[in-house]
Amino acid sequence: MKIKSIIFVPILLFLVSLLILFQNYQKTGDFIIKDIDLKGGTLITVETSSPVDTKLLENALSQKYGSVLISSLKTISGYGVSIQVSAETNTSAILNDVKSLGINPISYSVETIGPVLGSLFFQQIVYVLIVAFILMSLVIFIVYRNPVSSFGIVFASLANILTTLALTSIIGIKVSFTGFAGILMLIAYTVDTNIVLTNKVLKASPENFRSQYRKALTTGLTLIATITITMFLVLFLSTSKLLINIAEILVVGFLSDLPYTWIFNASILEMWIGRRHK
Amino acid sequence: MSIIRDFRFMVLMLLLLISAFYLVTPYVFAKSGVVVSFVDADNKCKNIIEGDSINQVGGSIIRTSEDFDKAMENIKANDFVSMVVNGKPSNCVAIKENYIGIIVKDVEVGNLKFGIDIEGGTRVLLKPKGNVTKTIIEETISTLNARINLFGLKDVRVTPLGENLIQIEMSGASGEDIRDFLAKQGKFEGKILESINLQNNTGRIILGDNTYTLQLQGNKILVNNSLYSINQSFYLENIKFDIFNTTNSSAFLLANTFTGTDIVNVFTDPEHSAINPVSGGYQFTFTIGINIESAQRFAKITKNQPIRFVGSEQYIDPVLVLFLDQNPVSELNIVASLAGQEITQPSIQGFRETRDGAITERARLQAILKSGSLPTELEIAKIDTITETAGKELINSTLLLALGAALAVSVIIFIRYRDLKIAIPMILISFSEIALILGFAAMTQVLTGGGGWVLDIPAIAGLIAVIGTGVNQLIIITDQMLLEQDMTVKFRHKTAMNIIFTSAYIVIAAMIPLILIGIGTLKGFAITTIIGVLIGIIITRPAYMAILERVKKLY
Repeated sequence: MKIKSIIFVPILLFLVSLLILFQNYQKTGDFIIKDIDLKGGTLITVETSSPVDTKLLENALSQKYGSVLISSLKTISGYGVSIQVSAETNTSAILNDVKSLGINPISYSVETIGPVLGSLFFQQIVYVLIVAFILMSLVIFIVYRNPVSSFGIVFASLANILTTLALTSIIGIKVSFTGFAGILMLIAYTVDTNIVLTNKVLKASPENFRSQYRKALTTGLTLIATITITMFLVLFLSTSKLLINIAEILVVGFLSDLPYTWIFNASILEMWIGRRHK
Repeated sequence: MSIIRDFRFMVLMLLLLISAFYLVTPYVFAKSGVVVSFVDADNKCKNIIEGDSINQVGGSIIRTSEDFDKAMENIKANDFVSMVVNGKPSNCVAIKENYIGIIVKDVEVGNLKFGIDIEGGTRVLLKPKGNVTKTIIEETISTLNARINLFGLKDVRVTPLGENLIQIEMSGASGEDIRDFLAKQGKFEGKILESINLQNNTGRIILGDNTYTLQLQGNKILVNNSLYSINQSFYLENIKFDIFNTTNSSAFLLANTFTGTDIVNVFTDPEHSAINPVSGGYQFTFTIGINIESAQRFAKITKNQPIRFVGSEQYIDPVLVLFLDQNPVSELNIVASLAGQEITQPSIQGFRETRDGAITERARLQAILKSGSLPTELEIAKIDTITETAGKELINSTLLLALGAALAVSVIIFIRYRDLKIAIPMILISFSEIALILGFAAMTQVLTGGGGWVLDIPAIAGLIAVIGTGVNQLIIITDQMLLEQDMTVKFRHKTAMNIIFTSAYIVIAAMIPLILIGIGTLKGFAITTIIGVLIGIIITRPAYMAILERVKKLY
């Protein structure tokens, strides 16, 4: 079986991702679920020594402050909750209410960001992403001086970013400003696996394409195994919201890289090698 | 040739030694005791200055700031406290209960400096109102720095962020100092409040030897044939009058006497600056010097004003009100004997319920007046407050994470290659990458005297990213060298190096925009990643290649 016979899988995935992003935009005005630092708001993180009844807390606070988002978190030293409210809310009043509900914070942190600054951050980071992508593409074209394999890498990378963003919005992962660091890392990582693939098969003949592809895949799967397990450890062990957000995005991105590198880009290279040897 | 003589291996070892020097030596030669971080202006101590280290208080040895606090517990006002400072005897007389006028902190050991998001503290983003130029941002930052120095705040960093944002980072403290002090525009105005009595809706404004007629029409005021409403202003003899309020029987006017730019001197010496207990709290006073034009305005406005009695003291009826950013901060009676005089040294007063509050407020006002007003009004766009516990937990969880990741990656590597000769060097090389990056961070701190590279959470994210991709590169090298048996070793080496260099170019290309754009928080991530990648391709990956060539006997 030729790899190119299943090239429809990544192409379909890409189209579905575009559809999801487009639908998100129609429904909410945003392509992704933005975290508060990109849309504005206040996030209070309270750490406690015993588990917190989030339902009770949510009921009590939402009566007083309107829309309140509460989620529980577990840290190495104990338990905690994060409380998300609009940027105008008085944070010390909320902390007092939390205490009056019998919750005793060991420590807490407060993060407030105005809506204007949030959208400024979003604009800037999207700009960074676009420039980074263009620079990366230039490097690829200069290094390979081969339009076909360069296109394969650049497209796989672009498709992977868009699919990762679409998948985060389906799973419900909020993307923060720092989360975009994860997207930038994803560019670097996707290109890594594609370089391994391209370097291994580009000079191959159609006959030994399969064996070279298999070697590249062995390396590629080892790469994904080590880096995914590291990111899972970040997800489970880290107490930093920022690090966790990066890890979430990267785990999704590593998985969605598989079809684009090992099916789409491999198919392009297979077809190109086949044509060259005719 | 043995590995020890391999150039690539030698470079790695040498740089590891240098890193170890910067990372480890501070712990070996650490000073014990606590360091003086603040000395009260009212202290009664024998030659103690900031930065001194305190070894003993009242006979007990002080190792941590908790020991110092414990030693303060039994101290009463005016107690004589003997101490050992910098190894020599010294002493203080307590200012009040539990307080000898000195605040200490633990000695910071180590050359690594961690960000506010790890150490605990406050980070505030300030945004000027309206559009501002780069020069205004620069002026604002230098005024803010002047205020910080004048007030004596420690560990505060003010940096521009992007094109029109200013970031202030303070360790330890809360956001209160920034909100109530630093970010205040500090527009200072001294105005004399006159209440003009109205009869049949008509009153008289006394100005020097002249009088002007004022008429109330509805709630507007007619002066010199022009109508003005509340909050509008008019000029008489080049003096600006603001209409503050009107009632049926009076009109309240504010005669503008001086502003912040008229201040030529702010006195902080004990003779011109004092704290006095009054009923219900403490009053602070200090004197400022104003220029002669303002003094002339003062003389003109106060001359011939009606007199009133408070007890046996004679004052003129109008009072001097001081405004900071349009808010009245103090109201002063003017002694009758000063009326009509050209006063160049008016005093400023204020009241706080506690002595500490009065001292702080006086110091803030003095710093604001000395540094001048900010060229633009600032609004707080973002505040992050992180307590120290959260930061410590983060470091602990990151260390745990590093160990867990090392273990997990070792297991995968071992399953994949079934060869400890590959797995062990790979893990050791990854750890040396961490050591080199941290060593570099410590070195920049030492070489710049504390102004170097600060490790924050994004930098740690960068570190994790570098180590993750670093292991990937080592796997790529290993596979390239071991799996391509039909190529010459030289060619395999060349291909492996091509792959890791291309990959490094890509990472650097992806990170450069983050550095250029300057919206701070991810800069640390980008810098760490680039430095890590450079260390990787120049030092650690060639060294790994050298080890691999030997353990697998490739040549």
